[in-house]
Amino acid sequence: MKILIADDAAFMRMRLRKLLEEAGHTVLEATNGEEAVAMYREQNPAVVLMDITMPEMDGVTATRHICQSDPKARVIMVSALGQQAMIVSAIQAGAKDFVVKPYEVDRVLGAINKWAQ
Amino acid sequence: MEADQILAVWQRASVPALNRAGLALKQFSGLDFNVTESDVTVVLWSTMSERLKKSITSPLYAVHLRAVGLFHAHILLVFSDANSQRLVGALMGEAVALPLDDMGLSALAEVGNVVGTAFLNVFSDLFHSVWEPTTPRVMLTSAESLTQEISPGTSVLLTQALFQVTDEEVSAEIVVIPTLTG
Repeated sequence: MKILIADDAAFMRMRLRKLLEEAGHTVLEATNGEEAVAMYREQNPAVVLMDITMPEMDGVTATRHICQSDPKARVIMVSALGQQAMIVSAIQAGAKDFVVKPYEVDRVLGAINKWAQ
Repeated sequence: MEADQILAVWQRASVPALNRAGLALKQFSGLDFNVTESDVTVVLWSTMSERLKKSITSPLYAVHLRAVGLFHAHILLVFSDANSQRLVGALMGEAVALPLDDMGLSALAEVGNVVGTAFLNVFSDLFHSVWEPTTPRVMLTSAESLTQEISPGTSVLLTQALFQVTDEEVSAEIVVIPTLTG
């Protein structure tokens, strides 16, 4: 399955890539919200793992753009502690689920498997 | 809340927070991680800066983030360059070179994020209120220049922390500087 990771932190992208590739997924990477929106339109991934705080365009705005163009998009927000208000905004924008950093591996894979079906 | 009260709360949170940080790093990295403290004291920044200058003569990496909530504080995680190199190498599963590249800096920032968040989670449980950490920023600096940024008379909480990961033991100083204005 094709998964898009949108996160400005290089280490987080590397860690998620390793985890997802080990689980048999194909991974795409975006380093900000703008890239994520463009890549979603080009590649149509099955699931997007979207960080909230990113430069250029934040994850909530990117989620809004993606879900406006594809209401069936499956976007899972990756949030830090204290971003509850942002999670609510993201869900209103169309996000399907969220995981909180530092995340547990099983929680991330569980959310992907749930929404990929 | 006054600065000395904030420091007292932080001091009490230190053991459970570092336990949580170790657990979170273990879950996150899949490695055998443990974080413990050997000493927690409230000291003047002038004392802290003297210690830093004596103990870290090489460049150091400082991860900075702010805690914003019922009370505010700056959090600094200070590693010698050699300790940063060992910790990042363990996280990446391969030897890394100094100075750390973008990936290494990002890994160190994530450690700062995990440790800071662990403290804030303890506070959230204690006070039933939400704290928000700012995005961690990693600085390659020297003890000399780091110590010049803070007034010598400021009271800070100094935690000597030990990160144990696989076969590595990496020491770090965690410094908490309460701020009344955020």
